[in-house]
Amino acid sequence: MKIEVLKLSDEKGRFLLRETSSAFVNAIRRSAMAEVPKMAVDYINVYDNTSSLYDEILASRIGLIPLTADLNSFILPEECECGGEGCPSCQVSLTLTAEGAKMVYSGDLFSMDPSIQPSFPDIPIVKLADGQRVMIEAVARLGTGKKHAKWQPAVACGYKNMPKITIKDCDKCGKCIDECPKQLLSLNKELKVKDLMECSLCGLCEKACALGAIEVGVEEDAFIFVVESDGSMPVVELMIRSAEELGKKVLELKEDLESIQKDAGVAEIGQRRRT
Amino acid sequence: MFPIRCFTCGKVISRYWEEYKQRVKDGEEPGKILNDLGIERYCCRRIFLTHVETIDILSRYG
Repeated sequence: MKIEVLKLSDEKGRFLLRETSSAFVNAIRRSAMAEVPKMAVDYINVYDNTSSLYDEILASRIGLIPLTADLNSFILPEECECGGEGCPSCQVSLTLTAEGAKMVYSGDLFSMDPSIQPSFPDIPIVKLADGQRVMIEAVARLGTGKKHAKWQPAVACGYKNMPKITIKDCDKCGKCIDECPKQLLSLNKELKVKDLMECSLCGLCEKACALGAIEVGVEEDAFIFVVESDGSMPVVELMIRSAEELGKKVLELKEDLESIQKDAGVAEIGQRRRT
Repeated sequence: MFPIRCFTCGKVISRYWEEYKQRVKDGEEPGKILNDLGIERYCCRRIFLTHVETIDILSRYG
């Protein structure tokens, strides 16, 4: 597989992957969305809430705030020695105390562990009127996107085949130019495609051409992969971690199969199941 | 209150709401503000365009 970076910042990435299959690109996408763990507030303890929002809505809003964390120093509650009850190696609490009249922002969350902070300090949580109060302890834990979207580090992650537009025997009538919704075609002595990667493969130019001179197809083994991070980690780290998670799964499968082979119990295979 | 994230794609959008609201009030065109703020997808844009703020009305009955 060959990777070409088209655009890359901390929030957004666009890559061109060549010599690969859609199955593999999809595996990476699913891994980035559902398997990479990140920190998010799992539940809150409400000591005082006289704001206009219900406790549950506050919990939902605080949960959706992305948190940046040193992920290597925490483990998933399910894999923790405490058995998921909660201990310093699998959870961190943040406190929020505010009194109105004011807007409460994510920056007002005070973390017990300085390495865990809201990614953006300017997310509004609740607007308090004069005299309204909130006093909350929020508990953040590691989790994965398959359990809840708040633990999903990749936002709007997807791919499409690389478009391939072939033009031959064109009579330069220019009908396809008006038809293209993205205005990618131009006629200057010759019919040309401005930005091939922007093509959405709608095929309207094909229909507009009476001669069948323009043909929209795809390159079967090339993909444009787009990914956005929710802010909890840079896109590069997200992609590395998604590849790691995918690798872990393959290794697990390999180990399982090897242990079955060792036992030489072919009849047993059907009864073996991983939890 | 304005949703923290886009219902559909999950992008964190609430941080742009206050600026958007102020600029609409100052007479700018909503579509142009959203382009300027980098809200590209229509799933995120519809939340801005259709949101009705009710928190100030509710807080009177607290």
